Amino acid sequence: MSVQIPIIETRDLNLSIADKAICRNLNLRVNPTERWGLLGVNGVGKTSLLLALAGLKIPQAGSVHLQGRALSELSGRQIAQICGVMFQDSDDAFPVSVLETALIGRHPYLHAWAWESAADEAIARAALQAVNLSDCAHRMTNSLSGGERRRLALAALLAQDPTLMLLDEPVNHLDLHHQIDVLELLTQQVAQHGKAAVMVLHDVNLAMRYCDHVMMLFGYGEVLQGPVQEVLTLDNLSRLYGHPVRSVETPEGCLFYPGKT
Amino acid sequence: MKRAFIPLLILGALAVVSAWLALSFGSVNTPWQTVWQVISGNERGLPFDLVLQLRLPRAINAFTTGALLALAGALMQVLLRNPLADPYVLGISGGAAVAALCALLLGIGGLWLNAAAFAGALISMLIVFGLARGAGAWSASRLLLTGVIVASGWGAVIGFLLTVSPDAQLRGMLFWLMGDLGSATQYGVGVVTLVLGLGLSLPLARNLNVMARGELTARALGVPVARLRLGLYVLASLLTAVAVMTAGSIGFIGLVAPHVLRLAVGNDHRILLPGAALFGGSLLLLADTVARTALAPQQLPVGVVTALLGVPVFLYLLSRAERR
Repeated sequence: MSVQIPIIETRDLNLSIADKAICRNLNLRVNPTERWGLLGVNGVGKTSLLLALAGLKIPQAGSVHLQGRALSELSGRQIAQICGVMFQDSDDAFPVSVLETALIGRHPYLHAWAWESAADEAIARAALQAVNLSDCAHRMTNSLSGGERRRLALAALLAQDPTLMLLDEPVNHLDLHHQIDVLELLTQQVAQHGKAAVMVLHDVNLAMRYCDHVMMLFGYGEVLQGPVQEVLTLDNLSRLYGHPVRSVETPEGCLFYPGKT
Repeated sequence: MKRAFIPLLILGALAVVSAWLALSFGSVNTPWQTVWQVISGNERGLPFDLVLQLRLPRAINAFTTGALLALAGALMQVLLRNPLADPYVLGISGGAAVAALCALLLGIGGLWLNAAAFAGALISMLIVFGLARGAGAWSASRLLLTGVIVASGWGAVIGFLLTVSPDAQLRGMLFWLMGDLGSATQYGVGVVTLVLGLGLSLPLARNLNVMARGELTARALGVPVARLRLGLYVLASLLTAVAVMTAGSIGFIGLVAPHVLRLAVGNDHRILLPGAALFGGSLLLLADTVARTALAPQQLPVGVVTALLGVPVFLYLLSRAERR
């Protein structure tokens, strides 16, 4: 295997919030075409770790490198051209149209006085098409349902076109077929364009199916990472969620479910 | 770019019409043909003095003050993440009023009164900034709360000053508090500040659009949020301070003008910022024309007119927005 530059790499990353350790000496390498699932119980620091990877939270020690360059060497704009984040919730104090929201993703590529070009608009419309929101282009964001908002946030991320996509619960609020659509879309984006994705997921079975690597946050700074087959074991999952997890073999693969205590 | 053209053209036309009305109407009404002749330099008699020396400086002051307030309001709304914030919400006008009333109490007038008002506004701005910054965290709600508390403190001091002031000065003080364009003679500072304010805020407009989507989103898209917020705070405060210095505290323009535009043309700040300046300027110009002429020869404080017109218009818009 040839040595490739990872899209994102952490070196001895120490991160804690209010004296609560999230990870200790974390050395993470995410290579092109990889899809990482980030698992852990509520409040264990999944979102904070995602923010640290994006340079939006300063770690206590260690460093984060994007495509071989330390975050501290890069400007906010440069980071935003490589790494994009889809957050859990969006703000609607100032409602704008769905198309305008998707166009926000083009911000890092435009200069102060520039207006979005026809090419930018085409990119935004294609992103809306990809998440099935083309018909809503001129609706206002405050009239959207929770699930439509999630898909719009994803469209803005697609319009931003980052090499590394950091997604905080991308399938939250989505009904079943949209969950699958979104994860299929991410898989296709990652495979076709040599991107990488790190996503916070709560559904172990979706992680099993749509990720090739997982990272488990156990709290107190303990992190377990590796390929899905090695890390997603019954023992690890039961310890992670503090509840016995069992599995059943189906024709379409292994399925996890919470056991009865 | 194309989207900005039509709204700004309409607002520009509104500004021209308001200017024409302001120059034509007064104790003596001047027909528009005469106004045109004065402006084009073909008329040198009494209408010349009336239009160019009495009405024009006041009209320029009214327009720039309204534009400054509306621009400051639009910026403050993004800073505080609240589309109903106005330029006075952080206590800037309160600080200016206390300083101005003290000056009036000491018998100081003219330019020194303006200087006192400006100094008061700056002091209030520094107090709110220092207190809100205290613990390092600088959230919108903390800034808003600090500003509101400081503003109510100024309100108490204003009440105290009014109580202890001799009757002879009370009328002048009340006029100052209600906002009045009659005493302003200089318009250079206002015009320069307005040009500077627009020049500094327009290149930030797309950053403001991103910041309106949420602070984390903005930071993730490369917007230097901390620096931008500090810049917004200082800029909006200075614009407000100059407006208050020129004309006292005139209510409603800084809230209504940007908010009406948000409802009418949307929240793209590249259109909204210049639009708010044009619209706020026109509104205050029209209100001042009404204030001069409605009960002539009696002059009303223009703040009374803006509030009397602004309250019902705003309530109507709110009820309409709810139903949409």
